[in-house]
Amino acid sequence: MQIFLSGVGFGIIAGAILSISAIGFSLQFGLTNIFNLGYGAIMSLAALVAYSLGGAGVPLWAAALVGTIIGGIASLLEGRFVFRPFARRGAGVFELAMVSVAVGLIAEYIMAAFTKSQTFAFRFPTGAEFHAFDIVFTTTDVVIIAIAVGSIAVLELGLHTTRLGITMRATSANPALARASGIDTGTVVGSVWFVSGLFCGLGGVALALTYQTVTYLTGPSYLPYILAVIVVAGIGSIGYAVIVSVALDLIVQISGGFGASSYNVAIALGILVLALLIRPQGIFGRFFEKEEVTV
Amino acid sequence: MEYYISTLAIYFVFYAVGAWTMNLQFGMGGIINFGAIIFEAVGAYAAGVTSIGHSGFALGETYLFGTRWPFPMPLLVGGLAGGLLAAVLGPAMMRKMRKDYQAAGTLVIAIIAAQVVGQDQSLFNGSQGLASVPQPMSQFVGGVGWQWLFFGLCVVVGLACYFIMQRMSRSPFGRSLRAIRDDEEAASALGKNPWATRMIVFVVGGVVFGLMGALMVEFLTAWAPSSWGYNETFDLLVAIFLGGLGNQLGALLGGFIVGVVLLQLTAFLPTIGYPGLTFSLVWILIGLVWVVVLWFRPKGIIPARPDLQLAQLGDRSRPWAWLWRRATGSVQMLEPERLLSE
Amino acid sequence: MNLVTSPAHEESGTRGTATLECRDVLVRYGAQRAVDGVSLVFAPGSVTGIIGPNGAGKSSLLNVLAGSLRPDAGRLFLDRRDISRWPPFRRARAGLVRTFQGARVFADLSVLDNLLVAVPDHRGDQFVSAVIGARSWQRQERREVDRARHLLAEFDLTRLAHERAGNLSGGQQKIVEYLRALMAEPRVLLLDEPSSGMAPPIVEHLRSDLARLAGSGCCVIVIEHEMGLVQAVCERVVGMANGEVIVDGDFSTAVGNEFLQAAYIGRR
Repeated sequence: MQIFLSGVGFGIIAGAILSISAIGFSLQFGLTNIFNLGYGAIMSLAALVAYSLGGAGVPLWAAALVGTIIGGIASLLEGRFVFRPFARRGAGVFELAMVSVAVGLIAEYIMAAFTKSQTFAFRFPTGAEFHAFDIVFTTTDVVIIAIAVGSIAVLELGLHTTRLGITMRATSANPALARASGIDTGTVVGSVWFVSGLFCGLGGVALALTYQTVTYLTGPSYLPYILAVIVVAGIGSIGYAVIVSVALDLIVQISGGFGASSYNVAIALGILVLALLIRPQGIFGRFFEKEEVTV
Repeated sequence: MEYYISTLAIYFVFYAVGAWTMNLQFGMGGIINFGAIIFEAVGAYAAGVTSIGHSGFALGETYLFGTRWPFPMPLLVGGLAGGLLAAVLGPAMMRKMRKDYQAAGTLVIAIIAAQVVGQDQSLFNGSQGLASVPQPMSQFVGGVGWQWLFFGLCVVVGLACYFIMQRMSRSPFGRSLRAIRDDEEAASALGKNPWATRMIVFVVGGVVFGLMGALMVEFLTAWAPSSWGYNETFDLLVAIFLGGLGNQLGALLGGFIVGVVLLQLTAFLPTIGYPGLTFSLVWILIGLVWVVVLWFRPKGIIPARPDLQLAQLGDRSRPWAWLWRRATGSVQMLEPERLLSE
Repeated sequence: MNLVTSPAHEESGTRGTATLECRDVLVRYGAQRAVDGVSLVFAPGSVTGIIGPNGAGKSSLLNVLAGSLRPDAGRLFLDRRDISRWPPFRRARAGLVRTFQGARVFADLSVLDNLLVAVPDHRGDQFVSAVIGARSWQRQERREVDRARHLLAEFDLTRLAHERAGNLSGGQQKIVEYLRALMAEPRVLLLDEPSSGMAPPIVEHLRSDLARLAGSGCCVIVIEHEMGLVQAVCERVVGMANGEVIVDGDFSTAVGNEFLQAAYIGRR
């Protein structure tokens, strides 16, 4: 029973992190139709920035915040100065995905060069422990879960109530129509890059805080799981990404607790292969058949 | 020095054949197979476990199976393993989907698979991988002589694979493949089975990758998940893109640039800063070159030439032109612009 | 030289003729019935024209017969065999060949290669034979190239044999697609508006070609708007509207049918 519960505990926290990260990716992809395989690099960037600031004496919450914002800025820059020029030049979705890989590699190895490819231990007091239903959570865990829930709630609210949010959804659904209706798609796209970048950064920072290690590979090695969620959940509403993220991590952690620890990854792999086999467009989402890009 | 050159030569063959095969799957079959490395890995492991001997014995390694088969059995087993894995994963990895989606999906499968194998000790000795894989024919010749002998072996295997893929391409089978690639529905209406045909290309690719992996493990005498990590999966990709999509000669060139020049030659550069910095710098350079190539010549350095018609196969009136056309026109399917702007 | 049957089959005579039958075919799009309970039998050696206003369900019916559209109800039979669940490529292998409304040639292949792709049972088309080498399939290939060239010559396209198919004009592509279908040795040929985009002299050529096809036993089904062609070549005309078969008889009977006429003018 204890194994089960601790599996649930790990599953929830891991699911929270995965949700945040997947939502960021889904936001980007949903609007621009670009498969940004360099997403992981930005996660690492945010984590490393937070780590360096924390090491320099900046209070943890501020360091995390800066890291998150850096994620947003980096995303925006990449969207404006990398993807947009290539798209304007006539690049299709596949070429853009390749560009994202290349740029991601460059960013990763610049970080590697700066950090000397080391892995850093992110030490900080994890705070008091909470017990809920016999599962042990640290303050960090609780804070991360709270932030995850909070940010997702704010995002959903923003998408449905604010003017910007509504235009985002409209542009995502039908870019040509949005443009024709006078919506400034440039601003909308920029906003989406920034907001999704915030989630990306937040995910990276949360990863570092939870697993207490940071390296230039933190993000890129996490990317497969994000992609697994995207493949299984499809590009649809945010809620589905959350459900799938949490479900995936719960399954992985709980079963991993019972079997050998190596199998939890195998399960993620199995789920992914199964999803590709059965419904490549995802269980929930509409499959983006269109091949044009919105930048 | 000769030792080093022969090593480079062997690596060149690996990358060239790998690039050709990925090119074939891409150009002829329209298959985006970014998980190619997974087939190399399974070939390496299969060859490894069939030549090391029983598990658990010397060296404290644990792995599946374990036997000591004589050369060339492990090689063949490696190829077979690659083909089998392709047959199993094919239905999932080749579902009809958008190209970038398929790229991401296959890439993810490769990366996660690396982690699975790396963590499970009992499968293939976990993250330490296999070591002490015997080198074939080493009892006859040693040192540099063996290197060149092995190089010869690689060339033979590589050429054999090449000829098989060429024959696939330059035949009515290749023609049907191209038609399927061009317009699947119309091709079906003429009796072509798109799924079966693509599976054949995929499995053949799997066999070739498996063979390459087997050769690699016999050369290096060791193989661990770090050999097929996140970055290695991109090596072949970059090679093809640098060299030119859908173009055999270009794939060769790309293989040379990435495999030999960038990755191996740089080991000879003086160590700047801390050890390992050169490695990072090389990769930054690779990334930059890739971006530049994508910007100016999305088709790669050697653009592919329009397809030869099979009906013109026999025209040898101008030998050099014929040779050039053969080399650059062979696997070309669609104009790369079409591929890239889709 | 018999241009319908490839030399490979002349000896074995395997292509032969076929009867195509559909029973109670129903295709629904939500509440709309694109094809509403259509049952028809097409005899070998016959040329049937299917006419009707836009939206009558003609193309949907054709797609059901060809296998690219799965009906919500109904069965299909080819020579008494139930082919309802057969995918398109399997039907094509059995001799049921179709063309598309907008000519779908393989743009990046040459015209000649377009035709050669269609050859059924080409030994070189099999993986093993391809790998063994050209020697095992070259003879057949040469014969098929001959046959293809003859067809091209018939329609005056010889000079375009090595031209990239995508560079051709719409009308030329239509012809290529038609010839390609012929290369496939059809026992049943489904043509979707074959004459659209074709110049009149070519249409005339098509007419005589279709007549000859039927003469060899091929069952031809043509969706057409060009009444001149229908009248000239179709001994049987099926008129459809609103997914149903309104009339089934010879040309004058069909065209004279008042319900069909009304359907053309306005919706009933």
